[in-house]
Amino acid sequence: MEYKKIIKNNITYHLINTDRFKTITIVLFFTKEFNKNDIVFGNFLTNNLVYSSKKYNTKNKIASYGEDLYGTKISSSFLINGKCETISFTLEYINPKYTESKYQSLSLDFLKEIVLNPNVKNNEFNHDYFEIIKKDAISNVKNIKDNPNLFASIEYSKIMYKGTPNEYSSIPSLKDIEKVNPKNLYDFYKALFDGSFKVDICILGDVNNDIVDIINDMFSSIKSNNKKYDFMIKSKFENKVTEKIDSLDFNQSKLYIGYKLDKMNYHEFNHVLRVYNTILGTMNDSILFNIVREENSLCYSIGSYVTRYNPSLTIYAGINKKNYDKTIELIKSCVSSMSDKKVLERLFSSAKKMINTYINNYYDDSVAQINHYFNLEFDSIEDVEVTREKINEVTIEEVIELNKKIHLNTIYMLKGDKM
Amino acid sequence: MKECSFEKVDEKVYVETLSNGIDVYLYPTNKTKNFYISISVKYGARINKYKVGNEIVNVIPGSAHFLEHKVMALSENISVSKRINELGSLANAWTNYYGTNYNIFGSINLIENLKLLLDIFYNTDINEKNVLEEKGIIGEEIDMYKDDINSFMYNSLFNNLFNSSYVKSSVVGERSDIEKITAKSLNKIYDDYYVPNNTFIIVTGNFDPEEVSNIIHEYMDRLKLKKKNIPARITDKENENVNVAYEEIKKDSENIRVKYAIKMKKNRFNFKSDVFLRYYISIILSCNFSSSSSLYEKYKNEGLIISMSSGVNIIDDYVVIIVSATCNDGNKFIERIKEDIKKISLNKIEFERKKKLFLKSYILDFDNIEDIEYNICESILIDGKVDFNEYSQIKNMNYKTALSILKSIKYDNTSIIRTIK
Repeated sequence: MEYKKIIKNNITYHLINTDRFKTITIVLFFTKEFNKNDIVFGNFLTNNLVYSSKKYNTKNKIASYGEDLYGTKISSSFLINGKCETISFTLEYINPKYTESKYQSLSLDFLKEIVLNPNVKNNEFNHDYFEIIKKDAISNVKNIKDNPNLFASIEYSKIMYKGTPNEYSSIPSLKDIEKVNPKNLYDFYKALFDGSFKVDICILGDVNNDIVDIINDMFSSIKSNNKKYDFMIKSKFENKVTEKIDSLDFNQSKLYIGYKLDKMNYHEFNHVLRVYNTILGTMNDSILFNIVREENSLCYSIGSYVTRYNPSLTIYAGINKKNYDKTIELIKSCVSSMSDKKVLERLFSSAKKMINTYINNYYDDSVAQINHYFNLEFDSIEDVEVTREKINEVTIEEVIELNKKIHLNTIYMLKGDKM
Repeated sequence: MKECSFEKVDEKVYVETLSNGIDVYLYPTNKTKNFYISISVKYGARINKYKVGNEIVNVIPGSAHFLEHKVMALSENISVSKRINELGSLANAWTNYYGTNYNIFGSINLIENLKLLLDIFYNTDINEKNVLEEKGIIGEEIDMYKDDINSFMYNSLFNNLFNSSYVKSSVVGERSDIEKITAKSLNKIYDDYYVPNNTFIIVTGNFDPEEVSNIIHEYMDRLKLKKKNIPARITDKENENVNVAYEEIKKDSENIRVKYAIKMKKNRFNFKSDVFLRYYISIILSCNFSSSSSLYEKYKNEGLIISMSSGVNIIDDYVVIIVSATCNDGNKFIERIKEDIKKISLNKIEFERKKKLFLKSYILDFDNIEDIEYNICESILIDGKVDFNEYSQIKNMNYKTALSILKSIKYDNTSIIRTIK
């Protein structure tokens, strides 16, 4: 694998040349500071552009053409990345050596068509398709309550991350949906290319270096700013716990427990915390899995994750509502036990080896590689091999010390009221 | 070991059958640093009754999945669990209607991981105490699946389509089923089905195939397991007609979900290969109901659907076609789909276009070792073999055959399930 960073016309190209995969993936990232009013526009725009274009002016035509190119896929998303928002367009096509060489240029042209030639008339998106996307958006919002995990994580985030971009999900509110129309959506679309965003283009696959010139010619009309954005949110840490319970008509209850992280240095945040989280909630034999699931049979799923750009640790579990108090007490005691040297000793070296396996997996994951190089633009992260080395240097004492910086902040349960 | 090559992609698998009947599939590659090891048994939730000797055994629904939990009982097997963790590996297991798979994913010391996985598989301790303890965990798992409306509707639909088939019960069973499961009933299944000639091992990743093969031979020689007669699965005669033609499920949801299913005898298609019958019908359905179809476009433009998809299942002697939709007006959708499904058609251009998707999927299946393991495993469990020439066979799929399959579809034996507010 060979990586090159090339800047042309303010656009940052990340060329990851590798024969590891049988596909070629190209991602266009448009990033700027987060604005909550953009959620609805980002959501509508990403759905609209992949629904129809000027040339492929129906859903049917756009889908059929992708199939004709051996299932070339173009997807689009709006994401909140810490303090920033990113709109991305991803093209994935099979390496032409398995099909025919013409499919390379046809796939690239398809991406250009979707991004630069939208189904627009008189500076407004096609009204018929706009209405379809709007109906779908309304339906998505109203159907959140059909998905207990999604509902619970959205409600949990509103409390846990109040006052920061993470309190919002990338699903817009019904009120905001009414603010969008084909005209102002087109205005938002135009701003993608006028220098309001920092543009990064990642190319991963077995490709020639000249692909950068080809893509640069294709997207020469795009203006990118060269601002230095930072994803990391430095939110204020408050020592108070908020508890909330909602109810819906489900069998199982979803529990989310959030911990805020006190100020950590680079090593603590990038290396010690990773070992901490693995021992607490991600490895086979994690403390949460052992105590809450195996010893007390209180749940099927339990685990923990770190929200990197809004420093916090979340523990989640699917439980029976009658076990609410007992589960919370056990989870609290699991977190407390992260200061117990004896408990940590049992899992410490295994956790590091498990992280080693995860790091190896990075080389088998095209999305992880693309995200790594993209995130480097907004975050001070090191090469994965440096991470591997530094994680091996973490000590038990550092994990114990880190536990002092992890403070309970939010307890949220979506109570399943069926039983 | 026999070297077998998958066409077009230049990927090789080494295959052998040990003297005790275990099949071994080894896929070595240096494109990754990791490995994926699995041992699978061809015993899944579809076996709900069987005959061993003169004894007829009725299996409690959910047993195959419960057994999976008790075989992969790492918290009860402290030394093995400790060692897997020390190696930084991840152990997991899954069960479907066709089989049960136990696996380890890791990057350090494949040989030791392999031995540990075999130790897990061959050293079970299923007793009344640990079975009772597991019921709480599995109960939570059942609740989790029940809360997924799509999976809940599928289970109910299959229960309505069939009269006696295994698909009437979900793989995990009901809470009331698992209450009846005992250590004795699980040990009985383990003894009857977890036998070498009903088992296969797959290793994918970075390793030397000869070394791995030798270790498997040594391990099996030490165990001295012998081939055994695999009990005969008993299936009750299935009534051709659907069991329940229409069901409404109350769900406080904004949109209505509908599943429209057609049940047909498989023999009406007069087609040898289940795999390719599935492929042909999938193409026909995709041409008519996927987002690239004109019907999808029409329904969407009329505001009739939010989304629509289709699928085909082959269940013993029956073929089931299902069209699923999320819509605003369930009655209107059902009225329309009843008529439109009878008009499904196929043209050559569409047919050739859909074939490209199958070819793409075949090529990309080799991009990661977990997919390769999963595909080999599923092929053996569902189709009984790994097809190394599938690429040419997909290429050779022809429009004429597709038309003949399309003509054989019969539309009158239907079951509908929908939500109501």
